Amino acid sequence: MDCGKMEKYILGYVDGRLEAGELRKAEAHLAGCAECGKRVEEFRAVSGLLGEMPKIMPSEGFDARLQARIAAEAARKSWWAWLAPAPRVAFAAALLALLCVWVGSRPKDADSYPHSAGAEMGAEDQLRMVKDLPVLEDFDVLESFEPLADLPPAVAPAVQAEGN
Amino acid sequence: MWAMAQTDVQLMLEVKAGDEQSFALLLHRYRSPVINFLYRMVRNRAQAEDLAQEVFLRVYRARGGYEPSAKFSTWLFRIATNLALNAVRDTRHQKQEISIEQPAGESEEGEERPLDVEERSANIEQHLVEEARSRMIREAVERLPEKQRAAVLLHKYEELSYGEIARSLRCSESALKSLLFRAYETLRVELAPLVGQTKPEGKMPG
Repeated sequence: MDCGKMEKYILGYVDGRLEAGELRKAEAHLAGCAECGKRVEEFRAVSGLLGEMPKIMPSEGFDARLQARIAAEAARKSWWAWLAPAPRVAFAAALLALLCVWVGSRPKDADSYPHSAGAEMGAEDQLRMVKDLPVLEDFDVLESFEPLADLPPAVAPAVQAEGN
Repeated sequence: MWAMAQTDVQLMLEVKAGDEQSFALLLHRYRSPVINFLYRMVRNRAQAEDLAQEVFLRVYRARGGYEPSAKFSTWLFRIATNLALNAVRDTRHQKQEISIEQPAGESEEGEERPLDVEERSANIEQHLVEEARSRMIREAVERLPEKQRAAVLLHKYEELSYGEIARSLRCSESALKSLLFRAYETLRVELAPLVGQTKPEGKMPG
């Protein structure tokens, strides 16, 4: 064993915690190494000095304070335990609440949509609505738009001209 | 009598089964070592007691899932070590500020008890020497990096095996031995004036 390896064993040697094999190796090294021998003595002294560090006693209220915290925690837990057997009820209640929110957020009168209010709309409103529609929808509406039926077909001359 | 002879594991299994008395016995057995370990780590009595409360609360909370796979004390000091290391890291800067502001000879939490008249008249010089010696040791330990400090304290005071300390610090046994060697090397240098000196006779603080 060299001094580097001895580093891992030196404190165990000081404490008497080495196994028989380790102890033999450490002792063999220490027999020929004054430096490590000195270190063993100094580590032993340090260990002794650490033993001088003062000790404190727990304060008088320590146990009572802990028991109070445990009791408070148990009380909190029992409150939760009161709720715990009803997770399905809680789930059902949450679903019901969501349903209520969804129903409440819907418009009250489905007939208030503009496209189904044509009967009550004036002609001007209808025209404005038709103008606002996208092209495809616009075409469908115009095709069956009563006032336009009286007009002559506008595209016919152009088709004839193309044929000529 | 029977309860006192029970092992920690037996007591903890009874706590698991709902026996509050067994928890009180475990608390009685370990509160002082845990508080002292934490006190030596954080150097503040009130904080050490708060942390110790948290240690035992965690043990109590975990009782339902307790399995005697390791020594109870290893598990206990693992919780204590984690809490202590976190506390030291959290308050490191704060502690430095307090140390600078505090006059020499006064501990952070005012732990030093005032001398009574009898002590003064008996041997004030000896008392001062002892105080200086005690402070030097305390401060040398305090200056160790927190993991080294925890290793030294668990090794010196709690009589845990290397394997148990290594598990508490979440490192290998080999890494722990290096950690301890470095700590002792530092202390050997820092405490050089005291190494080789014999402890002065008389009452030591604590």
